Amino acid sequence: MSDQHVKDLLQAAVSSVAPDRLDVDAMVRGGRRRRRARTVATLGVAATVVAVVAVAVMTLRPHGQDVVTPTGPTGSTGVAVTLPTSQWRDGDPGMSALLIVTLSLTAEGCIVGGTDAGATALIWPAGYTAERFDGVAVVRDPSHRIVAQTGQEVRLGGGYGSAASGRCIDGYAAAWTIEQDPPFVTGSTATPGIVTVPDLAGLSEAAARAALAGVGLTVGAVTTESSAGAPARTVIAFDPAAGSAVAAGSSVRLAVSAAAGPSGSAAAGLRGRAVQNTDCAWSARLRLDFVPGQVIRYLVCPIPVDAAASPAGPPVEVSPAQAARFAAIDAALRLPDDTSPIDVCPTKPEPVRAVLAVTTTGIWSVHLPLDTCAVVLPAVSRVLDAG
Amino acid sequence: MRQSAEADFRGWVSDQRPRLRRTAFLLCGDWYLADDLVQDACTRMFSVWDRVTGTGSPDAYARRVVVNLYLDHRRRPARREELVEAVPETAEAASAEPLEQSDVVVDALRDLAPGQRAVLVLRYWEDLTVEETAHVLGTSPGNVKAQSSRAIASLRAALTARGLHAVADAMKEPS
Repeated sequence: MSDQHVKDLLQAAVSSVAPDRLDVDAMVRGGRRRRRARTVATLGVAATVVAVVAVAVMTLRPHGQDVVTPTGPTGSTGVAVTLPTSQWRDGDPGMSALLIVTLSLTAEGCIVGGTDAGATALIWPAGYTAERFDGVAVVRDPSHRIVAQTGQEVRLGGGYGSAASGRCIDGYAAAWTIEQDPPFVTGSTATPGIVTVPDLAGLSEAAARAALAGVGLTVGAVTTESSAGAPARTVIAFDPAAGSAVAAGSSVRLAVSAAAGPSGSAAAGLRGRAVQNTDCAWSARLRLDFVPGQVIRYLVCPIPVDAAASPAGPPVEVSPAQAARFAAIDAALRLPDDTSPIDVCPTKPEPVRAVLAVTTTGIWSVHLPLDTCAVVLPAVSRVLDAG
Repeated sequence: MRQSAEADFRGWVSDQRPRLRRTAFLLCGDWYLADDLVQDACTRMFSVWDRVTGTGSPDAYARRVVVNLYLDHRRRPARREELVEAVPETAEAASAEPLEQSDVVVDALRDLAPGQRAVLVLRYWEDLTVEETAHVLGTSPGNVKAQSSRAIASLRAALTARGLHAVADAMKEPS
């Protein structure tokens, strides 16, 4: 009673939820950065220089590897372009003069300000990279975001004068060191032709198609893969990866989850308490809160469910009219039925191997890992579809 | 392969974010900080995603990271809220509306020590057993039991102090 009361209080405390401001893209980027930093650290580099080296490694990588390894050629991929960079980073003190100039790509493959005759060499902040497509080059910041492309007029904070020399600097009358962060682009002078692949993960197939059409890309081969946990007909993988720069009109391949998969977040959760006593026997109190549909009853099975009810079995409509059918399944599985949260305990005559929830959307099962002794609540999977 | 790991991770985040955010909020009592904790925890999760999904349950791992980040945050003096002698006038004082009970509970939780709060959230919100809670916090089951009875006593006192006598009394009933 007391326990339940504390639970209710905590539940009430989170009854109103503030808007979610999590940024999953930033998690993915940050996670990669951490992984890379760790890899470098394990090579024996002193901890203080890890961050610097990690960024350097990132800039040396050709486009694509940082995001994902493409699984095959789709659309056009860029060719790396030499981009002179300085040591300047976001947050460092910088020169604050302003150069407004149109970026162009020279015949030698350098990105410069202005036309060939009176062009100014440009030295970009640390970590910037560039790549070239048919006649257009794009500049990316250290997080691989496209920040400018040739043909655009840009405002570049910084100043003239640099001791640097090298390809794309030598031979120009002047060199401008950029010491400012994006945005650089002044107006809507973006050159059509290069677009960024949007993040499609988790979108429905229709939404992904719309998102691609919206940026001027087409849908390539669509494959269907089964994926536990992914909602039916949603994008689980795509190629090229999000953030890749590709020519407008090129195609993006999609892998979508199979329609028969469990329906997403609703199916992935199991709430309840699983207690394990000393001799590794299970005593559990489970409630399948997140099973979609209304729970009609819970069933406790002494045998693995798959053996008795095949996923290939005919769909069942869970309604009072189908009671006879469930009675038959009950009988086959020798199930006691229960409509409240269930107690699974070792005192039952036979070990409990699975729990079924019969709901308005189908029958869902949870298998208990009796033999592993692990207190891990397993995922819920659908055994039979309703209707 | 890495792409599907990323898709897996994104799916996992969209499934777990409501639960993780609530857990973090119950721990720290502030949605802004809660989102920071979850953001940080998930970033760490993704950096070891292959290992986490390969060897166990990402949910349990995430819970552990969130709790540890919270306790860590509270331990770091630079970031800890400052204790001042004079309490500045609060928005509630100006508002004529009575406080919701849920707000009072959140406020009462602030009276608890971080460790007690963590025990309370893990045991009664995350529904973990004494042993699982001890495992997450890296302490002994005996300590968890002691902490949770202390936490409940503190919570009861905090609720009584805020005028929720009935709620506090209800917690006293024997189980």
